[in-house]
Amino acid sequence: MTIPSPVVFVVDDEPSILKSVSRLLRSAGIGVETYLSSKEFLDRHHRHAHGCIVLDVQMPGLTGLELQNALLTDGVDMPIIFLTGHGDVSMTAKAMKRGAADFLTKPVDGGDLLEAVRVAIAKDRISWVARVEIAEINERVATLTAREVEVLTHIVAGKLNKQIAASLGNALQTVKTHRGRIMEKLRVESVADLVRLAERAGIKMAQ
Amino acid sequence: MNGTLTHFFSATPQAGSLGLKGPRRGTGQSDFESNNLNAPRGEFEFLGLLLLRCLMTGIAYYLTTRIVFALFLPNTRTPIAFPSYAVLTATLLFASVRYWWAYALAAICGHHLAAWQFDLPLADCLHCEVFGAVKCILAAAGIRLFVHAPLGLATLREAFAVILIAAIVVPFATSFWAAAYTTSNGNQANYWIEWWNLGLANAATAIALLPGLIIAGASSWRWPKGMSRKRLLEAIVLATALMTTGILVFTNRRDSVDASLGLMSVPVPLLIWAALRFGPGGTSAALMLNWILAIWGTIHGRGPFGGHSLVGNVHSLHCFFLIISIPVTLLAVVIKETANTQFELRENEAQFRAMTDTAPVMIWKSDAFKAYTFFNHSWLNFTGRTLEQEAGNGWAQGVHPEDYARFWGLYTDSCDRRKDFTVEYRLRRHDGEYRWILASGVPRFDPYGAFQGYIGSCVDITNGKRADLEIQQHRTELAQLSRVTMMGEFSGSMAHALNQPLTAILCNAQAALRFLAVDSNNLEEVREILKDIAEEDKRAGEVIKRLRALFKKGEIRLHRLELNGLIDEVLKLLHSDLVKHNVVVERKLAEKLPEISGDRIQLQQVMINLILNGCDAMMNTQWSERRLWLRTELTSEQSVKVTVSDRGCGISPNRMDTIFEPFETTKSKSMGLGLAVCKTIIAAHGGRLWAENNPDTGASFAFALPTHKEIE
Repeated sequence: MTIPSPVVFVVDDEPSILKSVSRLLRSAGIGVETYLSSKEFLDRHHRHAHGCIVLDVQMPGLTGLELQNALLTDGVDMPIIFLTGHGDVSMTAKAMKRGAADFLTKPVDGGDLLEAVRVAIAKDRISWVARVEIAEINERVATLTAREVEVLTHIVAGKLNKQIAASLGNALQTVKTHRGRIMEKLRVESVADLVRLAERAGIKMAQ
Repeated sequence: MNGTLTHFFSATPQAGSLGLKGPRRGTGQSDFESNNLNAPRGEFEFLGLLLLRCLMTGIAYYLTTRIVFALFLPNTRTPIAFPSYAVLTATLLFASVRYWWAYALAAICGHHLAAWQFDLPLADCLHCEVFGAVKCILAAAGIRLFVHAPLGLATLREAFAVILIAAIVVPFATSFWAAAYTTSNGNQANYWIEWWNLGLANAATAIALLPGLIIAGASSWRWPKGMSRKRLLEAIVLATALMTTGILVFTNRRDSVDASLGLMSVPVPLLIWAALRFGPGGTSAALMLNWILAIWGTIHGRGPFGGHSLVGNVHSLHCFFLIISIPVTLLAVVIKETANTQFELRENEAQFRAMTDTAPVMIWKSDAFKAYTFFNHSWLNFTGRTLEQEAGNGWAQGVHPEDYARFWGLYTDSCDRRKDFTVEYRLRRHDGEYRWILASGVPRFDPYGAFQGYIGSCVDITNGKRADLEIQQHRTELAQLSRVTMMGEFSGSMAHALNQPLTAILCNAQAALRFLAVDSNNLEEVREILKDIAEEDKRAGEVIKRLRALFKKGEIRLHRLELNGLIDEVLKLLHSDLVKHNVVVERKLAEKLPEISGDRIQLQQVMINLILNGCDAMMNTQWSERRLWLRTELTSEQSVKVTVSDRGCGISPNRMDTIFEPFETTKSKSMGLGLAVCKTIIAAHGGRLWAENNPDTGASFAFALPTHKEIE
């Protein structure tokens, strides 16, 4: 998988800010996508994107800090650069604790912003691969049916087909069919690969 | 003679308990009769008592007159002593003036009886009677004229009056007449010798007997109470010594012992002993004893007074006696008076302690060196410490550290200026809680005007202060008026409103520069950017215009306002700030000030700003000089003026023109918008705000507002 060119996602409720900041980034040859609200960003955001987010702290609806929270629970660890009118210490500390890349005060100097963006993109380059891989695995796991996931938990626990059939109350043949389909959907060749993948996807062993 | 004296003494206590009943301290000296007149016992009973007392006086006078007759010098009609003079004078001193005539009459009757027994010619007899009574009345009236307090020889002034009038002036003045009468009756005696003789005899009698009689009368003829055994023993030893030396000195036979002057002085140390230890009463008794022994000795040709004729010997005896007894009596009185004063002082001190210890407020005293010397029970209960721990400056450990410097500065400053002070500070209670205390102190001075320290009281005002705080919090609209919040919110909203366009402009401009650096022909992009920059700039301008509009005339909520009330409200609001700065506010508010039209909140904001500015300006002013004057006045029919004057550092001339400009400040924590906002508000009210330096010290800020009528 080749890494896409980096994109800076700018989220601010003020159109003039979006416009001027994206201009500045474009002038430095960086790709930009702009969003007028946190919700808009969450709806349209592409999981495989690579780059960073420039976020206004005070926005109507979901604030910058809340958006940061939502992304973290989603497993998106793209670096975030916060912009604020007048940053108070407690807010800054909270944001930085959650892994904010930087915290800049408006009116922000173009040089400072570009520098922060460059550092953030470099950082994201490393985490992008892992992020995309996990995202892909998750996508594959998502294609499994509920029954298949159940069977998978038993396989991960190291049970034989016979044991699985007994505990699920199925015929041995049915379990075999499920197993084949799981291997196919998750695109793995061996049980060892299957177990490793299930572990990365966070699938737990059956009791 | 001793026998008759004993008789006299045994008779008089009875008379004293009825007629000579001495007044106690604090009651009028002649209240006896008037009390009885008002008493429910009735007039009849009172008349009986008066008669009885007159009878007693008559008997006493009769007996003493017998003594007088017995002491006539041989071959003359001149007596050696006049005990009757002392007895009647003392009686009159303790009787009401309106009944003096009755006592005098009784005395005349007593004298008449004695004279009849003595076979005195009737004319002489009548003369003696009237003359004796007049003499006594003159002496008693003279003493009464100078002594208004109850008698009892308690003060030097009283002793002086008694001695001067009864023992000097009256005896020698009346003897002019008495000597004239005696010599005119065919008596061969020299007028001046006779005058000297009579005067001395009366004077010596008065000084020997009258003090004792006055003291006995004042104490209602009661033996002094509570005499310890030691003291009684001392009295017996002294009396024995006096008796022995008296007999040895005054009754020895002249041929056996050398009668020198030195011998006469032997009793003097004993008399001083009596004066020092037994008061005027004891001294008087000792003097009387010596006098009687000396007279007896002289008459019988014994003792130191010899060598001349008997008259001459008696003269030298009286002279000697007067010279000794006057200073000794005065000494005894002085000592007694000093002792009384000290006792009163101690009693006052004890009363002060008792009063302060039961008082609900805390009371303290300090000395001239600023150290605290006394705390009452309330204080010690409050702090839960002992007097020893608190004394000096130990108590100051309980003062809140934040208040200590302020309090101590004011206290020492007031000490140095000898001025009273009032101050609020926090003091640690026994349970460790700091309570707000309102303390005030007044300087103490001794009679010579020397500074003695302070006496002061403290009251716990924490509860009142809390209530004040709650009132403040309830006024939410006023609470946000506090200068900090106002400035904070103002700057916050302004910053936010201006940040957006500023950010856009900066980013745009920097983007344009980059575009041009990469490709100088990319003018389309740059044109777009410049258009946006212009747009954003306009927006920023709009923000500022909107802020200014906040203070425009149209947006003020105008109400009819009373400025004096508004100032009182602001002072309440700022009370704790003023206390913190230790600033005393003096109000000079004009009465019946016409109302103005204005926005209450905004005008309060102006007052708060001006007052706090004044407080800040006095940061380096001495504690006791931190005064702020608030004046309101009607300058014309249409204009009301409010002035806030401080005693601070004043305004330097080069800043005078710029202090009302925004962002002009001398304070590190301020944005410098205070005075600018004030000026805008006052201008929006159609008024004017200005500043000037006071002629002496500090600066004044004043604003004038049109009256309500004028606006209409």
